[in-house]
Amino acid sequence: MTTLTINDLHVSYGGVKALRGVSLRVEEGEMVALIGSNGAGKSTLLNALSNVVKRKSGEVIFEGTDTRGMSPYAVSRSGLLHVPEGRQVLSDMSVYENLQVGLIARGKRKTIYSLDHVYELFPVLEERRDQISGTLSGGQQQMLAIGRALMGGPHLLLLDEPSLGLSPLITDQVFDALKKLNAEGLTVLLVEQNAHRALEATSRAYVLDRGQISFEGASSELAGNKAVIDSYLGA
Amino acid sequence: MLTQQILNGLVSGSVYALFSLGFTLIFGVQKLLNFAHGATFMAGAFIAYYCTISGLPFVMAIGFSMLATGLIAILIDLIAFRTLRKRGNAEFPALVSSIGVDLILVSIAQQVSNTQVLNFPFGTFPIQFYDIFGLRISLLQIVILATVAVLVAALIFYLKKTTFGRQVRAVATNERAAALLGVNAQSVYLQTFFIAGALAGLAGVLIGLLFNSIQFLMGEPYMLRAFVVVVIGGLGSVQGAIIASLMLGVAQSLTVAYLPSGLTDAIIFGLLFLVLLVRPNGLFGDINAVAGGTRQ
Amino acid sequence: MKTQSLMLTATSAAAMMLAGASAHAEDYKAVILQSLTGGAAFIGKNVADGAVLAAEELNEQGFFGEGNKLVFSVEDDATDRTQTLSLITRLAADPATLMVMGPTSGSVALAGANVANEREFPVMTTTNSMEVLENGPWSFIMTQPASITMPFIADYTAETLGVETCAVIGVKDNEAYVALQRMYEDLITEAGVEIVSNDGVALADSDFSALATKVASSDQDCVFVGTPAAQGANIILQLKQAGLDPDTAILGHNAFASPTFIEKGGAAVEGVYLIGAWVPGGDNEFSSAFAENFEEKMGFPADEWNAMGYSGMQVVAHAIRDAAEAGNATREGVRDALGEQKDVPVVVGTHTYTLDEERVPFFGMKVLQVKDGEFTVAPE
Repeated sequence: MTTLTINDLHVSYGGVKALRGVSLRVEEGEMVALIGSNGAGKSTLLNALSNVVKRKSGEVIFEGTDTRGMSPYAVSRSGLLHVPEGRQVLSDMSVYENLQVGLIARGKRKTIYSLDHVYELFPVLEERRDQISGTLSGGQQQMLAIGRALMGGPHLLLLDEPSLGLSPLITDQVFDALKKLNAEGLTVLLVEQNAHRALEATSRAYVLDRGQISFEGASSELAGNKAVIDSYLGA
Repeated sequence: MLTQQILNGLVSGSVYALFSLGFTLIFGVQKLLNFAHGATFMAGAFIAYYCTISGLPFVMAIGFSMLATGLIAILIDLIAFRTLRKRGNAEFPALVSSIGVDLILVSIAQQVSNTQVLNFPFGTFPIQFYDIFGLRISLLQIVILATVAVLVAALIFYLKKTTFGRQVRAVATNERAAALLGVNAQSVYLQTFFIAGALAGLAGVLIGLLFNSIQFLMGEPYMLRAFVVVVIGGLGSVQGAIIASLMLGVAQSLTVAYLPSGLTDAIIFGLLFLVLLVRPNGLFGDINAVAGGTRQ
Repeated sequence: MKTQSLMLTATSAAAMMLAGASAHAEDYKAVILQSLTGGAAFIGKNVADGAVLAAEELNEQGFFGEGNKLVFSVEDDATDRTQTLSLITRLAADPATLMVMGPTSGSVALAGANVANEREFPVMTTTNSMEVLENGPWSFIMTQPASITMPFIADYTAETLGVETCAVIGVKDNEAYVALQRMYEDLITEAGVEIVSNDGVALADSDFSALATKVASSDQDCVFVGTPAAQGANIILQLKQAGLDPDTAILGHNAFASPTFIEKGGAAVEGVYLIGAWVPGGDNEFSSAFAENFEEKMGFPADEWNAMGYSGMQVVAHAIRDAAEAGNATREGVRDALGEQKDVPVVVGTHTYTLDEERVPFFGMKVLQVKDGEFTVAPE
């Protein structure tokens, strides 16, 4: 079953066309990468999926239903969970309280990841359960942001630049966790500027360039296409 | 006399706490100053007064008044804040529109009361005094202290330990992140306004009863004190607001008792500046809370 | 002197007959400009209510002569100087408006007097501030200065009650109240009474717990409370609840002479001494009729300010009629007539209202005491 289908999505910000006819899809159980240079529209796309920004036209079909007109909170309650850029932990609440807030999105849907699951995945969160989250390191905050989204029972997890500002060692830990989650069946759409990491972790990938999809295909194929990497990602 | 004055101050301060908590809550969640809070407080006293004189038992009058002021506060949110919030950058316009709501409510009260000072009929609450270790304390003062203590404890429990309360704090910290986690900010706003309004309404009833005076302008001095409390306590901090309220009450009592009169306000604001010099974020405002507040 | 006033009467009678014969209906236009809102609303609103009743009655009785009437409107100075200045400027621009009864009090009245003198436009302000009179010939005051009223209660304190020490509680944010309180302090100090404490409250305050505890726990023969009626009753209530010695004499000034005072104070204000220009319910035929008509119209009993407004309008009406009868129904004519009013029947004080050569009003005062929930004339 297809978890997410985007058809011809257009988004404008104050006259600037940020997305110009994007189409992509994510199948159930897949981990898909969306890569592209700074300003290509990657975060805009995720924000449009969670309805934080309004789309101008196009379809976003999540598990068979178009999310048009739904409030951001309603989108996340339906199981489409967005871990935003910069983590956005609830800084003056404790780790435990952040995870409890994460439960709200699950509502009455059945538990997919229990608190024990999350602690098992990121043991540091259990060690620091009573610490005020604003005082955690960047990597710990990223783990908390992911763990919090897992508490919400995601059918699709949107991740925006999880490696941003993290040391390579911590980035490894985060990506290992993501791979493990995907292996357990979690569907993920991963936005990354760090193309090599993203392509190594995923099976399929899209390249976004100035608001349009310029390439799509298997991640391994893309990783070997030096021309595409160089011209679109400047990496 | 010192202990008696401290008691007087604690009783007044506990009612300031009730008043200021709602104001702080709205500021904490929305980063907006609700100038109509004083009028909501006044409305609470008025509604309970008119219920009482039309024969409703006093306890029911209080309940009805809290319900009504809760709804008034929700109306304030819908009328004065919601549309402005949608267009963003609402601080200043919301300030002005809440002053507008305040003026409307005050004018209505003035018309209704014919500019007269009202008071609950004698015997609405039994006047009884106890002498405890040389302290003269009335039954009403005891009831007020107990009521405020219970409500404050309940509010803190609600904010810290319940799912609803966590949603309120999540919106206060980071509204967008909260929305991505499934928190319905609009419903949080309505809840906080309802709670703030009901607490203000109750504070109005208690003040009206304690000091035998219900008047259309009664909210103004309390608004002024709420500003002091919110700033000293740390913007948006609930514990800070409670402690600052009690401190303010006691400081006021003691300045009246021991210093030249007419200086009370000057001294209170002198204290305010002193606190801000030493702790610019207030006594209990921590950097995180402020950073969370400005991130929106 | 006597012949002169007889002649005046004769000429005015002739003028009235003339006016009647011509059957030419005249409208005399005046504006009641009072603080209907803002800090002085507790005075201004009440004065306006009393004045409106008086004007309606006078018109009904044909006071201004057959077919003539006083056309009046009520405006709000909002206890705000800027609003007052623009309103008086606007009213002065209408040549038909003869005078303004108002503005109400304090700096607002003084500001109003200022612009009125500039525009040569008569105003009778409610205040008793001599500054308004000193401002120029076009500005008048309606109430007796503290120098006339306060000796009544100060003498009673020092001479009749013979107290030695006194605590004073006043209003700190209203000039008129501050003036009354200062006068009282000076008078009793001169008479040998020691003032042991002096405190000010704000008009919007209701929490007097700290103040009450302080006064109740110190030692004095009398407490003077110089605040509006409802607030004063509340202060006295809180003083009694704080355990004030029941033998302490409690005194206040004319603001207490209001039914509100007894209603709000209940048993706590029994025995309180005060001065009143107005004896609630009235104390002669004219004032009793006013009390009855006022309560019937408004649904609540008249207080001192209602009675003052009613009395002030009597004076205004006499001045306008005198000016008209002298064939000079102009602003200048009304101004001159106002300054010359003698023995106008009013419902306050000793029932007649007179302006002296300095245009200072005099109508007397009574020392009252609360007994069994009513104002009675205090024992000598």
